[in-house]
Formats: sequence, structure tokens, C-alpha cells
Amino acid sequence: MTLHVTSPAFKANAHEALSDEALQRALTNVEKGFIGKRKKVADKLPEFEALRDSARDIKNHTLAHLDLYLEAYEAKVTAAGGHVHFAPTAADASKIVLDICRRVGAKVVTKGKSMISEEIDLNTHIEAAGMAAVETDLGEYIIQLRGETPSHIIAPAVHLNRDQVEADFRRVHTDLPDDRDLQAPESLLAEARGVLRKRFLAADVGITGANFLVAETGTSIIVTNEGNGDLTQTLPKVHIVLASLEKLVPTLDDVSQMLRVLARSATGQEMSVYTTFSTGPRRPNDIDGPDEYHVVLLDNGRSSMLGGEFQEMLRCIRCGACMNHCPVYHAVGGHAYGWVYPGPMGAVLSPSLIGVDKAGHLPNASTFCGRCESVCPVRIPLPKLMRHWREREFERNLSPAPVRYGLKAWGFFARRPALYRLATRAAMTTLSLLGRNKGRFAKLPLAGGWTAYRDFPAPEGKTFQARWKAQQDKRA
Amino acid sequence: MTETPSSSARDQVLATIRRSLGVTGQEAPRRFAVADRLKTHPSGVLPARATSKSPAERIRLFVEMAEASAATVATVSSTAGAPAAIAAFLRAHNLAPEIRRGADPRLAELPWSETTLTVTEGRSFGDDAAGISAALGGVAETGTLILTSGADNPTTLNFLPDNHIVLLDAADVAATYEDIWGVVRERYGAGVMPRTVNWITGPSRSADIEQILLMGAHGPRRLHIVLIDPAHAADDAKLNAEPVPAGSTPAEPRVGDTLAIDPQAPESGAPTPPADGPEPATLKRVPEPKRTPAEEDAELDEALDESFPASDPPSQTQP
Repeated sequence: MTLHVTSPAFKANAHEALSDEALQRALTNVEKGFIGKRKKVADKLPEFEALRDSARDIKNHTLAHLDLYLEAYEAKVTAAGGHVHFAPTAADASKIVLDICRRVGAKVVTKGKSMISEEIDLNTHIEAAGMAAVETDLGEYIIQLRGETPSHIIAPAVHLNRDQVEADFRRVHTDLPDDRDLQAPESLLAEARGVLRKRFLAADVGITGANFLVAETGTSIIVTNEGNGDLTQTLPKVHIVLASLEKLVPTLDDVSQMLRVLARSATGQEMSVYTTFSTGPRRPNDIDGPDEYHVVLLDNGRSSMLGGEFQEMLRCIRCGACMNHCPVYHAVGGHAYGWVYPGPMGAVLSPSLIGVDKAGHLPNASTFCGRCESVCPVRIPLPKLMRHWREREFERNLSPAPVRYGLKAWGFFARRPALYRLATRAAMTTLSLLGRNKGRFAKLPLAGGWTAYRDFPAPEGKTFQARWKAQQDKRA
Repeated sequence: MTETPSSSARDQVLATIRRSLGVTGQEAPRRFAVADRLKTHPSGVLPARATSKSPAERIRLFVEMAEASAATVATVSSTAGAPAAIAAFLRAHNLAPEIRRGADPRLAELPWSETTLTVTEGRSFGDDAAGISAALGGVAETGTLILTSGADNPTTLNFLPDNHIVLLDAADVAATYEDIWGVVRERYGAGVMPRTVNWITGPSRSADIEQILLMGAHGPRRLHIVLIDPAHAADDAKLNAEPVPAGSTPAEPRVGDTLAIDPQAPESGAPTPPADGPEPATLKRVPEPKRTPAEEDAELDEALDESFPASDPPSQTQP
């Protein structure tokens, strides 16, 4: 389906990430930056929790009526002079985009940030067709220069430090003087702005994503802070919107509810700088704007998620709050997850889109601490959905043999309480006897994963159940 | 749309959705629910901080929130004062007295000749230092400007010039986004939109490098709002009553100490002849460096408590 899936190697990826010093330095910015800001701005709005309910309900309503809203949306886009293209698969979506680009003889294609573009690996296809794909979001531009994928859905270059960015700019922007000063982040931004401004003005086709689609008016919406998405879609002759089916909401009022939770959850802003509503191509009297407006609607497995236990995942509005608050993401970063969507939302979505056989490690990379669910603006029960994947993985015998047999053995005892008490009592007694000198074990059979990094404390002799019972007896 | 190969793809996608949901698409109650919602567009939860305000308080909230997003606001009591306020803004930032505008009558009819400004009309091609648009309205809850595309206010003027000035009538400042959709539906018809509606909340920024907030990413590095508020006449009268040198400027732009202010800009507003057109494209980090992180935190907290400013965002929140 797409290139670069390294999710099956999650464990190795994570291991590597943990010992990558530059990455660890960069990752401190995630925890430091996002969490406090989101909290502050959410606390300032007394209606925030009610808005989360409202956002959840709007998405649930839309998903339950998705076929009808899609028909209504399509009719409105067409009435406004635009074109809607349905793409059942990633390959279909790429082909539709390339056909449009070829038809208008495009040489330079500018791009606003779009995770759907990453999902269908569009840049590879554009370049293979002999056209230049230019990412214009600062973070996306940086990672494109490095031949990398985003490590975060809203801050794609959050895994990098400024010295790395400087080195890339010096490597690529060879027409600029060698002795220029790029120490300050300001000068890096100024350089990128200068380089990209020329590409904006030269582009033949502009491709953006969509945060939302509105059925009432046939409108697509992008939310940005840089303004790159607007230059991408306003200057070229053709504007192509890449969106997945579940971006749809019914009305302008509904999308206003969603927008109140999006920026606050994502970046801790009251509102993003630019929220842009686009409907069709330029009008007869307009003196700027694109001549053509296309929307490519990607399914890629989403329609099959409806009506099932993962339907709730389709409420996701890609704010990134779940990964910003995830201790696992803080530790390993986004690339370790091995595909487009990292963090808790990726751990649920990736198995649906690329298969649990490939992405089965991801739902296991969670402590189930529940922070993701507690901040999700559309209240997706992410831990519950990850647990569903773990169950499926187990049912399909995809879990490693020690896990499977271990769980089976545990299940055998758990269903026989008397035997369970007997076995645990025997085990605790033995362990406490063996460990009575040191009070801990440096090595223990079947617990190598634990003892490789820290000692295993020796039990004090009685099981929890035994002590609980004794205490209850004493009270009675 | 004409029949294309994509119509089979369309049928395929819709069929899978219907199969998954266990529906046919013909169920009357479902069709009614959809048609009804599209027609009545229920509003949902509205923030009391905007809806509970009197018109005067609403305008104050708008200004407070806009400034917190690093926009600057100059309030004048009538359109007559707008050109002078615009000239003062350009002067304060050492910019050439030139501005580009769309055909909007609200802009065309301003008394430009009372200033030395050179005003040109049309879209931007990227070589203008300053552009001006007239807003459809503003939204108090977040200090957001609402602009609509067309020959009157071409979209390129909102994004290509380094300095974006927006003319806003205080009567058009609404409490919530939903109020603005009411205006749009009335003006363009139910279910109809102009090519673009731009919500703009502060000047362009990025935090894609180490999460450090930098202003002026791809769009304008300054956003200046000229607010026409007749209720402001009282302030004008007060100003005029005081024994200050009688200036021709009805109101100086309130270039406050918001985040976007160039610290090197002349404070006096004295007419500084522009050196060579617009100032060089230097970027200012916000907040200023050379403070300890603790000091910065304390300062940020204070600013947040006072005025809800937008804080360091990453560049985008786009999928």
C-alpha cells in the first residue's frame, strides 16, 4: 500500500530512539510545550468540557449518516463549480492527483501540510512523474529536505534540533552565501520564507489537506498558523484538496463547535491564526484564486471501520493532544511507530489501515495510563480501543508464544480460585525464602525483561489475597 | 458533474459505507434527520464570555483578544480618521507610505487625500509591503477577523504583503462565529459561500523549530486592525479637550506592547523617511531572549492571566 512501514520493528525502533541523544533532547520540547498550554487555555473556557461533548456528538451523528452527508456535500461542491473524486484506495487517490497535474502540464506542485498526502505517499508519486513536489509548511519543508517522514501529526519536525536544521539548509540552499549566519532560529525561518516564497509564486498546482468538510455548503477547511496553506491554494491555477471521508461535518455551526476544541487541544491557542473556508474555484468577478477546485475523498479502509468496534476512531480530528500527553510518545518519539500516525491515535488507527499483522506492536506500546482519553477533544476511548486490538491480536495468534502460553496458563489458574490461591501461596513462600537474605533478586527465570534493568523485590511471604482476608477477618 | 470513471468508485465507497452501517440510504427517518440538520443548523454550545456581553463590552473583548493574538488595534471614531491611522502605522514601522487595496467601496471612499499615502488598487503579486482589506466582521470570543474573497477584497492581499491592515466597523463585531454565519447566510444565501472565507487571528507564526515561537512565517508578520467605533468619539473629545498639541490624527494607533511589536520601531511615531522602501526582512523572536527561563515563564503567566494570549503554537494543526 505505502512505502516505509517499519511498524513491525517497533521494539527495535523504540530501542534505537531511547539511545538517540539528539532525539531525546528534541523530545523534551513536546512535554514542555504542549501540555501546560493546552491546560491553560482549556481552563480559560468554562464551556470546554461541554464543547468536547458537543464535538463528540456531532461526529457520531455525522458518522451514523455519512452516506447521506457525503451525497449532500458532493452536490454542493459541484454546484459551486468544483469536482469531487472518490478514491477507494491510496493508489486511486495518487492517480487522481497525478492525472490532474499532468492534464494542466504542472511542473511545480506546492503542498500545504496533509497527513492524507503522507498516507498515500503522494510526494514519491509526484516526483516519479517528473514534477517537483514542494512542502511549504516549515516543519514539512525541513523533513522533506532530510528525506524523512513527519514524527508528529501537527509538529512534523519536533524530533529535530536547530543545528540539524541549519546543516540541512547549508547542504541544500547552495546558492546562498556560505558565510551567512544561521545561528538563530529567526534566520532559519527567514531563509525558508525567502526560498519558499519563490516556489509559491511559481507553482502550477497547490495541494492542501482539509481539517473539515462541510456538507451544508460544500466547503473544505484548513487550519494553519503560518499561512502557507493559503498561499498554496490561492496562487496556482489549480487547488486540490486531499481529505478522508470522516472529515465531514454537517453545518457551519457544527464546524464552529469543532474549531473551538481543535486549536485549544492541539497547540493551546484560543484559535489558530488562519482558518480558511474554501468553496469551489474563483468566481466570475474574482481577481485571484484558482481556476479549478478538486476534492479527492480518500476511503482507504475507513468505510469498513463504520459500524464496528473501531468506529469511534473515525471521530479523530488529528489535534495531536493524545501524543502530546503520552509517556510512551515522550520516550520514543513518532518515528518509532513506523508509519504515518504515531502515538495513541496511531496505535488504534494504524492497525485498521495497514493491518494488525503489521502494526500489532503499537496497541501494546501503552501503559493504559489514560491521559490520551482524558484530553481527547472528541472523547475517543483510546485505551479501550487499544485493548480491542490486543484481544484481536491474541485471538489471531499474532502475539508472541511466551505471551500466549503465559496468558493461557494464567487463565487456567484464574478460573480455578482455590488452585490459584494455592499456587500463588506456594510461589510467594518460595520466593520469600529464596530472597530473604538480600530482599531482592538480580536474576529470576521468566522475568529477564524486568531484571535486565532493575532488581525484582522479594515478596514478604504472604499473598495479597491472604493479607486482605486476614485484615477483613480482624475487622469483622 | 459528468459521468467519469470515478462514479463507479463513488458507488463503491457509498456501498461500503451503507453495508458497514447496515442501511440502504433510503430510510425516511435518516433522510429527514440529515435534511433537517442542514436546514436548521442548530448552534450547540456558545461561550458565555462572548454571548453575555453588551455591545460595548463585546468590542472591548474583541480588542483584548485580538491584541492577545499579537495583532495591533487602532480605534478611530469615524472613517474620516482611518487614513491617518493607517499612515501612522506605516510610519511607526518605518515603511513607505504606500498601500494596496481591493475595490471595496468602504476602502475606495476613505479620505485618502488627507494623507500622503500612495494607494493602488488590485490583487497582490507579492511585491507590496502593505495591503488593506475591509472585513465582513469580527468575532469577539477570540479576536478573530472575518474576511471574504472577491474583487472587493482579493485574498492575495491577506497573505502576500508583509503588513496586513484590516478595516473593521465596530457594528460588525459579533459575539460568536455562529453569529457571523448568520451574516454570511443572509448576504450570500442559505448554503452558499464566497470562494474563500478567511478567519484571521493575529499575524503569521511558526513554532516548527524546537517549539520556539517565531512571527512572520509565510504570511504577514504584522496584522493591524483599524477599528471604526463611533462610541470612541467620547475618547476623541477627551483627547481634544486636553492641552496636547492639536494633531490632525484623530487617534494614534494604539500600538501597545503586544507580542508582535518590533521593539526597534520608533516609539514617537515621528515621521521617519523610509530608507529604501520596506524595511529589511528581519525577524524578531518573541518573547525577547536574554532572560532566564523562570523570568520568561513568570512573564508569560502574567500575560496569559491578563489577556489570554495565543501561546507558542506549532506551525499547523492540519491533518
